Amino acid sequence: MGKTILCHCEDVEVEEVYSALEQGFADLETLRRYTGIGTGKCQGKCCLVQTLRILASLARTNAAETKPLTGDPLLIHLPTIRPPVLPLRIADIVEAGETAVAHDKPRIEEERS
Amino acid sequence: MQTADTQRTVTFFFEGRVFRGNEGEPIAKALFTAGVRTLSYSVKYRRPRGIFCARGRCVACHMSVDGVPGVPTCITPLREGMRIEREGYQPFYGPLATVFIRLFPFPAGFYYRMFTRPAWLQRIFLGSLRRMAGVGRLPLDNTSVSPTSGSGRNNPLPVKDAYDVVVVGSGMSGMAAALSSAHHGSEVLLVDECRLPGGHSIGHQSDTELTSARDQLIERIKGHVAVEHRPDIVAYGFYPPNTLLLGSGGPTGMKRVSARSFVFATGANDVVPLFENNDTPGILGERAIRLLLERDHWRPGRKAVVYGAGEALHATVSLLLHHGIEVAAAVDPTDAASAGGNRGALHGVRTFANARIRTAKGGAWIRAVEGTHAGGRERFSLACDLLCIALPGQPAYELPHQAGFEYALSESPIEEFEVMRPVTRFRTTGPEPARDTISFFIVGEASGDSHWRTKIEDGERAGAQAAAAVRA
Amino acid sequence: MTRRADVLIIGGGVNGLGCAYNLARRGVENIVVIERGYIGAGASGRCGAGIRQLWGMEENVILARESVKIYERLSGELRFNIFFRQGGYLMLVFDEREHELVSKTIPVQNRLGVPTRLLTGSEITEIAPGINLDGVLAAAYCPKGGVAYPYAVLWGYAEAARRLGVEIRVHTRVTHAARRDDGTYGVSTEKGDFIAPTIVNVAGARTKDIAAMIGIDIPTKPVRHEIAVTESLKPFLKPMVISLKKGFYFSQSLRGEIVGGIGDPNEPSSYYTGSSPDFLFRYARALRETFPPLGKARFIRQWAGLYDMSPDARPILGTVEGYEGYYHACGFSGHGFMISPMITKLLAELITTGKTSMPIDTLDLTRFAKGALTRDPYVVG
Repeated sequence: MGKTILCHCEDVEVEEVYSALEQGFADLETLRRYTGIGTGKCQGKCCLVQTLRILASLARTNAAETKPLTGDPLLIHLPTIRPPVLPLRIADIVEAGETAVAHDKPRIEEERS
Repeated sequence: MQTADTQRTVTFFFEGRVFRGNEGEPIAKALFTAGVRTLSYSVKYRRPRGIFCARGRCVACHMSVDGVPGVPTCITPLREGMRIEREGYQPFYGPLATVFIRLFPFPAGFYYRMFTRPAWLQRIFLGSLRRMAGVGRLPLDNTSVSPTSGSGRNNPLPVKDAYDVVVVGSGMSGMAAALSSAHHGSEVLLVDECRLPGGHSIGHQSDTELTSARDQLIERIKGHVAVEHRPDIVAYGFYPPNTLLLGSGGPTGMKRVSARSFVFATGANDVVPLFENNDTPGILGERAIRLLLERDHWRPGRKAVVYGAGEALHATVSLLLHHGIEVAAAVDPTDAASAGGNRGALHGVRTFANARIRTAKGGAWIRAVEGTHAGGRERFSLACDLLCIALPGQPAYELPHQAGFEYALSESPIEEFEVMRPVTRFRTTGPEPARDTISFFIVGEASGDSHWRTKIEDGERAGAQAAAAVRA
Repeated sequence: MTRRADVLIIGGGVNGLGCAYNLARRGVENIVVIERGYIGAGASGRCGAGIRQLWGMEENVILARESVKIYERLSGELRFNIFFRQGGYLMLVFDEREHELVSKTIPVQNRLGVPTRLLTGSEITEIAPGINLDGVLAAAYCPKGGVAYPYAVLWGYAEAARRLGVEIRVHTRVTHAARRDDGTYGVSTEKGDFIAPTIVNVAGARTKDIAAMIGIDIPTKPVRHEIAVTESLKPFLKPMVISLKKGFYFSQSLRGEIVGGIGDPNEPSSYYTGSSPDFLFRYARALRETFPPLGKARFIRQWAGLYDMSPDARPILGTVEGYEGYYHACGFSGHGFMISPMITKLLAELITTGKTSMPIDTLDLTRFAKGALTRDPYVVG
C-alpha cells in the first residue's frame, strides 16, 4: 500500500490531483489552494513541475472529465511566484537594521497579479 | 569547502541523547554518522523523511535546533552544545490520526465536506484539525538564541547599493557572464547562495576539459578587480523594476542592490519523478548527491541505482564510482541506442533501457527498487541503499519569473523530460535597451541548457550584452 | 453570441458569489456571475479574512454583528467547511487617545450585543501568551471575532450557488458595459456578450471602472495593501491581534501559519499588486516588537491585494437614481470580507423586494455629494 507523494511539504498524493479535478478545481491556482500542492514551505520547488506534467498529459489526451467550477480547464502555467524565494527568518530581517526609506514603486504602472 | 572549520569534535544533544560530531559540518551529516537517518515526519501521513535536496530547498531535513523551528539541517553547521529535536511528533494524537487517515482513502479536500453540521461537531472537528496542523513548534519563551536562516555565518554583504550588472549564480554560466561583463567595462556583482563557486559543476567530472574550463573560470574570478564576488549570499527576491533583496544567511545583514542589467544563472533543481514511495529517504537527485559527496564529504550509501539519462546519467555514475560507491544498475527511460549504450562511465554497469522505476522499498531508508524495462514488458528488482535521480532538472524560475519572464512546459515523448522553460532568455523593460531601461538575461541551466560549452558561450554572450545595455 | 440573464453579477468574489447564492435561495433564476480571473483572484482571495465586530460606528457594529452570526452557521448551510475559527480579536491600545476611544466605543458595542471587554496587563498575556506588553496600555478583546479561510468561503458559496442553478463564468473580463435603450444592461466581455435587466456591480476595486462605463461616478480609489505568511507552526496564538495606531494585524490560520500585514500611510493609489521589500522590513519589525517569539519564525511568501477605499472608509451600497435595475456594493476599504454576509443579504433583499431589513441610506452613494462625512476610526491594515 505504497503512496506516490506529489507534494512533500503538504503530504499530498498524486490521487488527490485527479480527485480535485473531478470535483471541478481545474485551474492551477485553485487546484493548488484546494489540495495544498505548492503552498507549503518550499512553495512548489519539489512538486510544481510534476503537477504540470499531469495536467499537460490530461490536456493532451482530453481524458479529464472536468466540470470547471472555478477556472478554465488545465491551463499549463506557473502560479504567481512571490518572494521570498527561500524561507526568511523574521529576526534576520529585523536585525539587519534596514529602515523603510523611499517608497518602492515600479516606474511602469503595469498590473501584476 | 572545508566542512569542518577546525576538525574539532564537539558535543551535541539529540532528543536527550549525547553525541559527538565535527564542528562546522552539516547537522544532518553529524546525525547520519551517529546513526540517525530519520530527520522528520511528513505532516499528514507521518512518513519518515531524511536528507533530500541538500540545498535548503525542501523540508525533509528541517528540525528544531536550540528551540528554533524549521532549521534546514542539511546546510546549517554543527556547533558545540546544540540541542536538536525532530518536529511535529505527537506521541498519542499523531499515530492515531495517521492510522485513521491510512485506513480510509479520503478524496482531496475531504475536510471541507466532513462534519459541516451540527455546529458543535464542526467546532470539534476544526479544533482537531488545528491540533494536527503545523510542523515546527514556536517556543514562547523569549530566549535570545540567534536564529539562522541559512548557513548561519556572517558572510560579507555587497559593498555597494548599485552595480552595473548583477549576476545571480556562480556556476559556469554565471562566472562566464560576470567575467564577460567586466571585460566589457561593467562593474559586476556576482552572488551565489553556496560558499563554493562552480554551481552544478563542482567536484569530480569525468570530462577533464570541463574540469579545466571550470577551474580557469574560478581562478579568473578570484580577486578580479571589477567583479565583486560574494559567495554564501542568498537572493531572496527580485522586486520590479530593479531591486534584488540579498541576505547573508545569518542575522548580520540584508541588503537591497539595484542594477541596470541582471543575469540569472540560478541553475536548476532536482526533480524526483512520481512512483510509489518516492519520498523514501535515500532517494537523492544528482545535484544533492554531488553536494553531499563533494561539498560535505558525506557518503550516504554504498550501493546505488541511478535513474537517469544522457550526460547527467554518465556524470552521476562517474561521480559515484569515483567516490567508491558501487553502482548496481542504471535505469534509463530512453532506449539504449540514444543513451549511447555502455560506453564511457557506464562501461561495465548493468543498464536497463526503456525502463522506469515503479516502487521504492524500505520505509525509513531505501533498501530496494522495483521497476519495468523493455518498454514495460519486463520487470527488475534491485537491492540498493541509494537511488540517484539523474533526469533533467527544473530550471529555477523564481527570480526570472519575478522579473517578468514567462515559462512554458517543454513537451517531450518522455514525461520525465518535461520541464518549465523560459519562453525567452532576454527581456528588457522598454522596447529596447536604453538609458532608463533594465535588462534581464537567463543563462545556463536556468534557461534549460545543460552542456558546459553552451553554458560558457551563453554566459559570455549574455555578459557582453548586459554590459552593452548598461552603456546604452 | 449573447447570453440573456435575469440577473448579471459582475465580480466573483465573496460579494458576487454570496449575492448569487442569496438570490438563488430566494427563488431567482437565470443568474450569471462573471469573474475576470479564477475564483479568488481578487481581494477576497488575498485578504487576511479577519472577521470582527470591533467597530466604532453603530452601523458597522450591526453589519459586523449580523455577519458574524451568518458566518457562524455558514458551514452547515453551505455543506462546506469555511473554517471560521472564533479565537477572538485582541486590539492593542498604545496611547491615551486610543484608550479613550475604546473606553467610549466598548459600551456602544456591548449595548448592541457584542461582548467586548477591556483587558490590562496579565489578562492580555493570558489570552495571548508571548505578547510583549511594553507600551501596551490595555487591549479591547472580543471573544466572538475570528478568522476564516477565504477560499473555503468562496468555494462553499460557488458550489451552493451552482447547485441552485447559478452559472459562474471565470476568466471572463468585462470590456464594455452600458445601459441600453430599453433599460436593460449590456455587458461585453472577451468571451461573449450579456444582457440583463438587473445588474449587480460588485467588482471590488474595479467597481468604479464598471460604473464609469455605464455612466455612474463612484469616488473610490484602489490602494495596494501587502500581506505575508509564515511557515505553519503548531497552534500557539488564539486571537487575531491588531493595532489601529501601528496599522498592523496578524493571526494564526487553521494550518498554523501566521498571516498578517501592516499598512503604509504613504501608499499611493494604484492597481499594482506586486510586493515590496519595504513591507517585509516594516512588518517584520512590528511583528517582532509585538510578539518577540515570532522572531524565530520564517516568512515563506508575501503578496498584496487592493483595498477599495471610499472617501470616508465606509461601504457604498444600494442603487443609483436614473439607473433602474443597477445595484452596487463597493468601497469596503479593507473590511469587506467581514461584513459580506450581511451586505449580500441586504443586496438580495433590495433586489427581490425593494426593501431592506436594516436601513442602508447612510451607505448610499449620494452621501459624498452632501459632504460632512464621518469616518469609523477602527479601520486597520
